[in-house]
Amino acid sequence: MVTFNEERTSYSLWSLNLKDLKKPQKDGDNKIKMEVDTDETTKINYTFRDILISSDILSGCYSSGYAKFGKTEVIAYLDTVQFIDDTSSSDQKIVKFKLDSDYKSELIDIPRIFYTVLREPNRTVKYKINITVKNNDGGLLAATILAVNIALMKASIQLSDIVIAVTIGIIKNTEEVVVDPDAETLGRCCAIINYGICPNLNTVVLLDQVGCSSKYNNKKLRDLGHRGCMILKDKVFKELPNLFKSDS
Amino acid sequence: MDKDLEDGLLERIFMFHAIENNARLDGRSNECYRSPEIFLGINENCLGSARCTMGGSDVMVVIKPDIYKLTKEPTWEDYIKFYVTCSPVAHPKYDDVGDDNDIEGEEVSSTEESIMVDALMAMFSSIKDEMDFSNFRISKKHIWTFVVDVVVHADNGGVFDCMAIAVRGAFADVQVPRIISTMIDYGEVGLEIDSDVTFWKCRWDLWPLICTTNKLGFENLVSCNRYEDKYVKSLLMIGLKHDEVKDGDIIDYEDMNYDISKHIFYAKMRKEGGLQILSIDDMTDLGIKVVLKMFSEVDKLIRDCLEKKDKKSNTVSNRSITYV
Repeated sequence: MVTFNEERTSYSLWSLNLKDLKKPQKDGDNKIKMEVDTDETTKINYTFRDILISSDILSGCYSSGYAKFGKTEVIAYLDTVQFIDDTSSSDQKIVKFKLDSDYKSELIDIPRIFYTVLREPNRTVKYKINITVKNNDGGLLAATILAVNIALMKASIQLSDIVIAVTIGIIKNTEEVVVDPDAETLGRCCAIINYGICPNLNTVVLLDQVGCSSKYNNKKLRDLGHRGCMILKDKVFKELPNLFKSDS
Repeated sequence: MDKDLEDGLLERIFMFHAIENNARLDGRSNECYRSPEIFLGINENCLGSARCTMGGSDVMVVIKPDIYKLTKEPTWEDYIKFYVTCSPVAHPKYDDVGDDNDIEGEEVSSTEESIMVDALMAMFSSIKDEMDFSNFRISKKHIWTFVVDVVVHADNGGVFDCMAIAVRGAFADVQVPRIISTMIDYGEVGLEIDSDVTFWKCRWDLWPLICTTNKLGFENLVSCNRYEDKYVKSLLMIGLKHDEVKDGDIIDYEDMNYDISKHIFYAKMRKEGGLQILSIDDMTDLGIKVVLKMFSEVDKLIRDCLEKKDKKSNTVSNRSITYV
């Protein structure tokens, strides 16, 4: 009888799997290797590029949000609201998204993501969000989601939760994990994952993986994305109240 | 009319009670997918074609190789180009092109086509290292470029699964004539076909498959039809790479001794609902299990079609057609 004491593929807090509960592994004497006990060479560096968020940068619009990740710049602004009558259909969305036409294929998930968190208490007001990409140097989806979040919050539209997204790439041949890669690094990646969560609701709203890695499996890539989202959430929540202080 | 009845509340409750007891409205269990049917060589005007029907969803893939003259060194993206068309009669949601509508919204058909092209590019980029492009190159300047046209004829759920199966079948069907390049004066290259025409084929076993797992209430369903798709909260598409499954080989996900989930090259969430993390783990495991079963069935069907093709039998006319 050969027993395989196989090491678990992930030691993150979120890797609880129901299959482990059905077949409990007996680790009597073996200590479970924690992720903090790994070597320094294999420890993943969660370092983001310089993040700049701002609001009220455009005049003449209802509200606006701005996000800058390194060299990636995105502006999201709302037009003046329109009032519609009560006879409109209930299937009609009250928030419309107009994506940048040059980057429509990359930003195609933006309406779906925000329909998850948008609430519609007032169906007589219709909003239109315009998304303009100033520069794209990788991580466009993460920056756009942050900019749209700020625009919606400045417009006092009710959201269930904030959406935080992160882009993680695995370098080909060296299997190095790069958090928030730029466009030159994305070209050298063999696996790219875009992962987005609502941190307070603890739900996943964006999962977009292209490519595969020989070192990390699908679950591990999702764990890396989740941890990256948590770290980015702490950075963003530290700066977010400054946008709503009054200048005095 | 009551507003709750307008939203289909009663049929939603009925469906949720049905799937909680592992009984769907068409008699399947929650993890049972609809068996695909594959037809190869349905279009004689091109060098490779396949059609896959899967419980009412119908996708047709046509491969038209073309010779391109390049001025630079070709990369892997130059050899195969993908184009996707969602027919307006496939689903009522695709019939939105050119509507005179004041609301400036996104067209569902162009969104779906764009995501399908991205999925096909992800499939191709995952197998480009194992593919042999030496047959694609005719001379220093001329290459074969495969123009892959995907047409969605009917959408009854699981279109991405149908598309992946049809692409795998189309690359099993493709036959390209071998071109001989000769040198003419002034350094020009002439392309000729030998009088005894020989053909070369692509490796079709490299192409991966996609499985769509739907979240409905607390259950995970595979291959939802159009009726169930109305109530799907969120869905997760899993693409997996695997080699050709020979006859007699039965792949059991529980008995695997290596990490098959490292071969997941494509994962995408759709629809306007969030998912819990445990749900994604369960949906990923279910998707892997179903994709491995689909590999066994699809490869057997493709080999049967290739045998019929060698016997010169027309598979399309073998179907019985009922006229009203």
